Amino acid sequence: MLKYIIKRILLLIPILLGVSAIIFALKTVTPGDPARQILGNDATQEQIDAKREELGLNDPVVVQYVRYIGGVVRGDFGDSYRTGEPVLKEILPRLKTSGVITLGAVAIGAFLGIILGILSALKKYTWVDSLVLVISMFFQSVPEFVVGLVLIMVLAVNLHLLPTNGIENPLGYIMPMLCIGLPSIASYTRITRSSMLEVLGEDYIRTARAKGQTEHNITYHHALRNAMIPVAQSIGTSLGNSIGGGMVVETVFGVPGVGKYIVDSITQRNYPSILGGALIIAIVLVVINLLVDIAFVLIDPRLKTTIISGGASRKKSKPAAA
Amino acid sequence: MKLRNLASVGLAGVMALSMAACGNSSAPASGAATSNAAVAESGETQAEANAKAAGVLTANADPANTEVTDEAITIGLASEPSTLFPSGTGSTENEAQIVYGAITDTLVHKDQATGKLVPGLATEWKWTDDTHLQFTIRDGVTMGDGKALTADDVVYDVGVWTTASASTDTGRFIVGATKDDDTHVTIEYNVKAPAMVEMMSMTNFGIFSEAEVNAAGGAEGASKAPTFGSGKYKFKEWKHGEKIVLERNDNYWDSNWKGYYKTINLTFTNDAAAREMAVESGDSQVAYDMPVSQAATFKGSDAVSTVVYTFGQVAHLWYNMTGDHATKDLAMRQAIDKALDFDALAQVGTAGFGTPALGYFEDNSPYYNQTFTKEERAVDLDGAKKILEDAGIATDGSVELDILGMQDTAAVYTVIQENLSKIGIKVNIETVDTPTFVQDAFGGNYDLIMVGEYTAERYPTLIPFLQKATVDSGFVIGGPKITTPEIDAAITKLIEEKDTGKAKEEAGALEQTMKDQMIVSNLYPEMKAVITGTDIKGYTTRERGFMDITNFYKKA
Repeated sequence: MLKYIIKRILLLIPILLGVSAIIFALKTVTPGDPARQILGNDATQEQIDAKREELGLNDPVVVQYVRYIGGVVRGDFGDSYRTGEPVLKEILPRLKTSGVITLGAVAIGAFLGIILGILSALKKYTWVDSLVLVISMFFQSVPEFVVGLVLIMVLAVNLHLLPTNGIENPLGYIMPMLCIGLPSIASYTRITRSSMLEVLGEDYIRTARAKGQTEHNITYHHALRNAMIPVAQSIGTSLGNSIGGGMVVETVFGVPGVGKYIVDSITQRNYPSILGGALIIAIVLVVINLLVDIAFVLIDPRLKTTIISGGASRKKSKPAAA
Repeated sequence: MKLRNLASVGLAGVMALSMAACGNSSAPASGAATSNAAVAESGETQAEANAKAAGVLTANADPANTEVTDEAITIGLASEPSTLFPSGTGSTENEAQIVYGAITDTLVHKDQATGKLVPGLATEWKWTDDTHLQFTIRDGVTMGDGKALTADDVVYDVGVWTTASASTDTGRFIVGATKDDDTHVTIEYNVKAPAMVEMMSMTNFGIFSEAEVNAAGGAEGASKAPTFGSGKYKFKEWKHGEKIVLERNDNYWDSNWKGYYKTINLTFTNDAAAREMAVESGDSQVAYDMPVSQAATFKGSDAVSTVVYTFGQVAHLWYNMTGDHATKDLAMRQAIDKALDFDALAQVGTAGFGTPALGYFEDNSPYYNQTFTKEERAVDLDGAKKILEDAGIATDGSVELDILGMQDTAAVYTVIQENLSKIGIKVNIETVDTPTFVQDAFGGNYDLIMVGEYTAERYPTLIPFLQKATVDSGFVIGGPKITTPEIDAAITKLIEEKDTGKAKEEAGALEQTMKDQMIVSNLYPEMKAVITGTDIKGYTTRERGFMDITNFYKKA
């Protein structure tokens, strides 16, 4: 097990290097001189040249990249061109905000998606099934910013239930959570529905019915528990994906999260912040995925057996079972 | 509501009648001049008069507040400033200046309604020669740390401006300052420009003391927590990413000023629609920096009020006259100018409030001259084609021009593209974001570029694209412009002229040269828009139309 974890951690290194290289390469081809960005439009060419030298922008791109990665390894993601503050110091509190919204969004999406998925599976091929499909597809199809503006219009402007923007009031978290969470309903619904249908067709469910178990017991005690494994895996993956997916939502709702930080940095050509933000999101994403995978290995004995035996047990057990 | 609509219709009717009356005169051009003169007399631009007639509010129009309360106001800005000490960190961000203008005070104030200068932290000022301006420092001004403002503070501030902001307009025209005695300070400038007095009313010339800045942790600390100044409001808190909080300065020296709101909260929401909806819901009271076209859709709304105003800036279309650019040819420039539909451009650029600019300066500027008649601004496709044909320029679409612009004005470029297609010129539009625009514009690889210029005053930066100093330095948006020693000398003379009447004449002569050589096409007055709660009054501005956040109050 430990060997598996170490192997997975080591695999993160090339992944993160690849991500950072791509982001860094994008920076080099994007128009806009960072030195002019820092000094402003009134700066003379001499001042700009001196700043470029100071920032090492005249060095070959590879040298710049290696220098940057060296800093990242030491926890130095560079300083924001705009504020002069270390990027990491600016991002960490925003990461917490984005994390809270992500957790809430995934919880909302998963909760509603699972309920609709169960309903859909139990009422398969009926009008209820179709309605659930339409509802879930609707939220998936409408762009997040449209959902956001509609939510503001309904919940804040007309009903005065929630604040329009900001998170000073804790209620301010709700609409961004809904906005990110609602589009994910469709995927949770689909996974839950198919998983439930698969499980409901298993022999042990038939056996339970034959033994006179109530439908409620069969559905919620026998079927649902087993059907939730792929859904739980999907939730884990969503956690990682959603943390960087709130750029539009955080911008619409004025939420000081990582997404808004990156959007602001892009419009300001604030390269250290863009690089740092994107890289930190990438790190969070791969770490969450790693933790989810490890958690499932620990939870699911079948996976544990497979990993410890290097995948051999399943191959061996098949002929035996046959 | 009905009454307001009725009044609007009435006003519009009166306006239409007056314009029709002007149109009956023998010279239509003088009719336009009469209309503009009337507008100038009222202190409004034509665009603001149009906005008023359409039932939209304008800036600096409400009487001053007289009530003091413990209430709070929330103002939605589009973005968060990076510093709250712009003049100490060399920043020129709009948002930073909005906050800075509330927490610091300037030596001179400008009454935005009348355009007149009034005493601020200086009770008097006088030019001792062409480049030395002496200020008499006001007694009884209490700074943020409770100490009195001194002449030494002003001398220190000038030192900060000339070092920290040496490359911006804040510091680059100032040589230094000397303390003449305990109440007098003389500032020396490196240019002759009477408008430098007015420039001292700009927010970046806010006064602070050395002790306060040091106590705040120097420029670095003060940029995050500017616990200094003697402005109408004091800095209280900056929750990064969320809000900036200011509190009323009850020790403000001017007892005539009454701050209605005890607390000002400034929040940051990029999305204009979200900023507006925050006002509609009552979460905030002001949504600043709205696109005019978007704000105009709320005209007549019962939920919010729309404020639309000009800010001394005219949108100009510049021609690249260098190298092998097609626009180097005078005939090409003249043909383009004739083919442009200035009415349509003004309609699109100002959401219908503005009319075509008939001069380089804004129409209520003291230096405004009507250089073009309304007839000259009418579309003349035949005339344009004839000029091109006489000059041997193809009109079969083989001539292509590149236009560089920013995304928010893409609609205007589309009008230009459509206009020029009618005379067989193809226009390629490249719209980019601000940093890319600035970067690309310096390269000069474009034929047409739209850049507005602040023309309400004769600062040393006036008409920078034709000043030899800026042309030589390479700081010319859209690449190197053409200038001549005569044009450069005319601009210098205009800046240095002490007499306003003569300056107007000189501006007129210069504009005629620019017209004859068709260096630039004047498009329309640029406008700003703000959405406020229906019960909010007192929307006032600072220089260049920046919002002054200190004068809001509620309707009685």
